Amino acid sequence: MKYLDIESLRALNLSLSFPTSSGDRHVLGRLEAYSCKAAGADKKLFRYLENKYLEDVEEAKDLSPEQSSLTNTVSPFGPLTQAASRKVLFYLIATLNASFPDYDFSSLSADQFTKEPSPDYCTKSISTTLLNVGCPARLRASRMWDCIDDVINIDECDVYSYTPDAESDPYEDEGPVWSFNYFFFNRHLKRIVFFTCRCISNLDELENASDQELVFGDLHDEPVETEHYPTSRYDLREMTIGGGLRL
Amino acid sequence: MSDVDEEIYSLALSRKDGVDNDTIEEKMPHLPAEALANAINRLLRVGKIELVQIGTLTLYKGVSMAELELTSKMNEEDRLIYKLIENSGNEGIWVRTLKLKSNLPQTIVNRSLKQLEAQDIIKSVKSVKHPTRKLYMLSTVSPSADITGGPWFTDQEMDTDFIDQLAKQCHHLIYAYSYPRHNPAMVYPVSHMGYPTASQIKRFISDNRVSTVELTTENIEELLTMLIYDGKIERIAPALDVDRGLRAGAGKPDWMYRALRIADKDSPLTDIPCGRCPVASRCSGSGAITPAKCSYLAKWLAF
Repeated sequence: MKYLDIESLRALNLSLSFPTSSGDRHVLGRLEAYSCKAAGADKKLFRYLENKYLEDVEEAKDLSPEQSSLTNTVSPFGPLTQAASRKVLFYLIATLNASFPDYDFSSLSADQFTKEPSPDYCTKSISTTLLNVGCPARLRASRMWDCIDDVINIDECDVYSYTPDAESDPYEDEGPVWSFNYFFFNRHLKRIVFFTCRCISNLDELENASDQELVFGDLHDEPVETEHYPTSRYDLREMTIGGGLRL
Repeated sequence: MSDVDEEIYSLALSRKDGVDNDTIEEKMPHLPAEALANAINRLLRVGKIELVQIGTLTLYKGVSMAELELTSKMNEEDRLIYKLIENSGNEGIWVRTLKLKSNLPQTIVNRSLKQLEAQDIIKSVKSVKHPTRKLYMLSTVSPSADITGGPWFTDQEMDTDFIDQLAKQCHHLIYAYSYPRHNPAMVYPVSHMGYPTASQIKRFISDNRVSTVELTTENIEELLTMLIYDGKIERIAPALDVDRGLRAGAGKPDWMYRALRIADKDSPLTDIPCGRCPVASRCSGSGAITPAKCSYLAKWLAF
């Protein structure tokens, strides 16, 4: 999957890191656009997935017909017996691999993805989530969905989401309060926009602080920096939260 | 290489974790401190030994000639990555940890990994605890049981059938020894010592070839712990009967396991009306509400 560097998405990404209105959490999101054109490692991944599927089919021959039909055909992409559905699974796995370079998602199965009812449903759900958590005016003003629409033409898309179990979650070591992973897949344009977002609690930092620090802290009257939002959990360590406790 | 260097080098190689200054002085008491320091420096420069710090202890680890040849062909970054991977032993190291520890940018790390993998020096492995993480270890090293899941996992998938079957077998064995055979409704007295221990169960399993893979005592104990949490068996004080050849107090205690019978009748204690009494908290030896005047008790006792 070739990463497409799009100016408008880059600008949006800067706005997608913000503290929640409750002040004790941070939302870190990013939007990435990929073209479904096969890059180097993709061919290998595709062959690997196809082989895995064929092996499963072979194994299924030993099972009863009822058991095998359940495990092999039902998938959010359509029946897995169709190559087209397997292709979509491949695109999604390749996108995850490209977006999270420290991870390898080739062991995922189709049932860890869900097909969303409609693109509209998803855009509304994402907007509601972000608004509820207090997204800054800058984000609201940036007309996020219009930008995304320019890239991928949302109405034409199939939208899938990845709901990992705890061990396969790329955000597992950050312990997020919530997270989502949406794929906007436009078959005709052969493009995917991957919208991933997580909300992590600042309170995790407190685990390492001693009781002394927790109670008395380091009370300065420092001006809060409002323009610089952390882009990762490691940046959070540098932040003074609300001018009070320095953790 | 001078004799002194040779001696120190072979000394370093002989210990797996390296030697510290004290050990070298012990083995080579005739060597003046300055000569020792010079020799160490020479060896370090050539790369024959390397410095390892464990806590406050400084050790000198010997680098074998084969490894030296291997690493001398690599550039700085590859060598660093190789050393980090080597140090992870059989646990493997995650790409992200590699990046953090080496402080190298992603592209360089990826390039090094690709090169090392192409030369078949390292291999990528998958852990059962984190199936999506990219782990690397040396090609010659076998992944630890922690990563592969041991006998309970086949190809990253938990073999639930195997586990269930084996657990059932263990439970049957324990049950057979837990209640007297001639009268199953009875129980053994408290002093009874004939319950099976983990090692006996292991012997039974291996003798009867119940499982195709070899199981260690730890594996059996894992299964038994699972059965304990399922409420099917309980662990009892270690067997102390030396005559029966059971280990007593030698390292880990040899626990005995007894099967639990699920009580199908309620305990008589739950029949007492006090459990369901609405004014139980106000009941005492004297006053308006006492057991002597209690109507619920009177009704219950009039059976």
